[in-house]
Amino acid sequence: MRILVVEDDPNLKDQIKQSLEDSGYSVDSAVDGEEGHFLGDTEPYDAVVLDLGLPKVDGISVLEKWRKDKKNFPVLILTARDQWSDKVSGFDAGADDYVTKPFQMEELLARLRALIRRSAGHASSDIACGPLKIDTKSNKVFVNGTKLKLTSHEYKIIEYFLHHQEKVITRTELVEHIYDQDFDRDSNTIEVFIGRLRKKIGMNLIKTERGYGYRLSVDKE
Amino acid sequence: MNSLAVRLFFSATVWIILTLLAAGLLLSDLNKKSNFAAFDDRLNLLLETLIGASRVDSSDSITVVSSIGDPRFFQPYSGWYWQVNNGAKTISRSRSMWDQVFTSDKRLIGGRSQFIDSVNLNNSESRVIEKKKLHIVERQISFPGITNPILFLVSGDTEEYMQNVKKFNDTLLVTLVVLGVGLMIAVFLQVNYGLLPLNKIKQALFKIRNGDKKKLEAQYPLEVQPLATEINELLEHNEKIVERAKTHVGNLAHVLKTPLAVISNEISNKHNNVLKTQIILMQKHIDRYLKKAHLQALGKSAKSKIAFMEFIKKMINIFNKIYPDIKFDYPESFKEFYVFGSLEDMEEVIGNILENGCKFGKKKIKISVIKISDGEIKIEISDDGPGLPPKKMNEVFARGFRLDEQTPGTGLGLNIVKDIIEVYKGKVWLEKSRDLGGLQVNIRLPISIV
Repeated sequence: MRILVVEDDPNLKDQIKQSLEDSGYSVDSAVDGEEGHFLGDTEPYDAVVLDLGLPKVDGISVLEKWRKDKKNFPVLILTARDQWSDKVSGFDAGADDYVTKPFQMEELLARLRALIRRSAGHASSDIACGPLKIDTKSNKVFVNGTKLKLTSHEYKIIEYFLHHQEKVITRTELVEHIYDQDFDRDSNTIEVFIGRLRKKIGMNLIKTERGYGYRLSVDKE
Repeated sequence: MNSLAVRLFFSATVWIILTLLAAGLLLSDLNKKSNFAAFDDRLNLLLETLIGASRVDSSDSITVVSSIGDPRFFQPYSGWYWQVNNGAKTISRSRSMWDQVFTSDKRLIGGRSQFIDSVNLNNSESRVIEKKKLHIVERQISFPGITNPILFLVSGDTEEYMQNVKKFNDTLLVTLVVLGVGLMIAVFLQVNYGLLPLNKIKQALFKIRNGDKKKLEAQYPLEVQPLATEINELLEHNEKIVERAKTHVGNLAHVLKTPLAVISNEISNKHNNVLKTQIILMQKHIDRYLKKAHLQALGKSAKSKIAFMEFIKKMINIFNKIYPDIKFDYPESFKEFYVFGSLEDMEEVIGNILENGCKFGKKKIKISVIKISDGEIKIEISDDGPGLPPKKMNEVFARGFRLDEQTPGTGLGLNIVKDIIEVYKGKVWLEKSRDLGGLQVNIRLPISIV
C-alpha cells in the first residue's frame, strides 16, 4: 500500500512517514500544496494524508483539483482548525475522513487503515481469501490459522493482493504500490517475491495471467 | 424633543401660529378702523344734513324745518338721536329721543337714562357704559343774528358697525384656523417626506443588523449620502476586522497545534508522564481559548436563510463517510423549513451533536423534526449509546466537561452548542431516548416564516 503524506511541518511529516513505514506502508511525502498535488496527480496512491494549511496551494484546493481530475484515492485531512465549518469545507472538497491536530499517531493509523479497507470494499480489519487471512491492525498474515513469517516487501504485496482480490494486477502496478518514489525499482524482483510468496501461502492462490500480470483468487470447486 | 420630526414640526407650528395670530389681529384691527371711519362719516353727513335743514327764527332762535331722512330718528330709544342747543337751552331734538335729553357734558338723562362716559369729537370711538353704545358727533355753528353759537349734535348706535366687525372677525377666525390647520398638515407631510431617506436608512440598518443585507444599497439624497457612505465603510471595516481576527485565530491554531502534535508524537513512546500531562494541559488551554475566540465571534458572521432539511442531509452524508457503521434514521419527507442564521454556527451545532452521537452510539442515530408552530421547530437527535444519568445531563453544558476522558475531544462541544442556540433564541436540553435508550439531544429553534 502506497501512501502520500502532504504536511508542511518537516518534523511532523517525518514522524507520520516513519510511523506509516513502521506499519508496512510505502510512503511518499511533500511539504507544499504544489508538490503534493503533482505527486497525487501522477502516482497511484492507495491513500493520502493531507494537511489543510499548506504553503503555495492550500489543502482544500489541492483536494478539489484531484477530485476534478477524477482521482478517487481516499483522502484523510489533517487540520488544526477544529471548527465544524472547516471540516465541512474539507468534506465538500472531497475528503473521506479527518483528524484534528494535535493527534495520537495510533488514531491516525487506525483511521487510515479503516479508510483503505473501506475504499477496497472491506468492512472488517481482517481480510481473508480462502485459507489466507490478514489482520491489517497488527500486520499479521495467517494461512489456515498459522502465522506466516514475511519480509516487509512480501507483506506489502500480499496486503495489496488481498485488498484487490479477483483483480488482475500488473507487475508495474505492484511496483508502484509497494515501493515509494525514491526506491530503485526493478520489476524483475517482483517475480522473485511472487515465487517466495507462493511457497509460503500455497501455489494455487496467486495465479499468473499470461501477458497481463497476477490475480489472487480461490479456486471454486 | 429627541425626534427630528417632532423638532421640525413643533418649530414650524409655533411659527405658523404666531404669524397667523399677528395677521389676524392686524386684519381685524384694520377692518374695525375702516368700519368705524365709514360710520363716523355717515354721522357727520347726518349732522351736516341737520345743520342744512335749520333756519334762523325771528325770535333769535333756530327751527329745524325738515326732518332727516333716516326713519330711525323717529323710532323711540333707537339710539339714533339728534339735538340742537342754544347754550344750555335745548331748542329741538329728534322724536326718537322721546323723553330724554343730552346734558351739556353729553350725558343722556331722562327716560331710560343711558349713561355716556365720554364723547369723542376726534373721530375716535365713544366709550359708553350702557346697553347701547352711542357714538356722538357735534358741531357749533354761529348764525348771523344769533348771539350764541348753536350746538348741533347727532348720535348713532355703534351696534350697526360693530355687527359688521363681528361678522368679519368670525369669518377671519374660521379662515385663519382653516389656513393654520392646512399649513400644519403641509408641514407634517413635508417633514415626513423630507425625513423619508433617514427612515429608509433606519430600516436598512435594521436589516443589516438582522443579516438580511450587508450594506446600505440605495441611493440617498446629497445631504444623507455621506452618512450612508460612511456607514458602509464602517460596516466593511468591521467585517474585515472580524474576518482578520478569525484568520489570526485559525493561524494561531495551526502554528501551535502542529508543533504540539510533533512533541506529543515524539514522547508517546517514552514513559515521561510529566511531559505528557503538560502537553495535554497545553492542548486543553489552546482549545479553550480558541473556542472562546470562536464564541466571541458568534452571531457576527454572515447570515442567510438556511434550508435546514437539506443542510441536515448534507451533514448526515458527511457522517456516513466518517462512521460508515452507523445508520442514520432521518425524516427525509419532512417539509423544508428555513433557519435564518450563519451556516458556520449551524454546522457547529449539528456537527458536535452528531459527532457525540457517533462516538457514543453503537449502530443507530435517529433524527426527528417536529413543527411546534409556524415560527418554531423542535429537532430531536437520539443515539443508542449508554446515555447519561439524569443528574449529569446539566453538567455536560458546563465548560470543559467531558463525558468520557478516553474519547478524544475537548469536552466543549455541547457547551458551544448551547451558546450558539441561545444566540439564536432557541433552547437545548437532554433527556433519555425512549426509542433508542441512549442520549437524546433536543433543540427548539425559531425558524423563518416563508
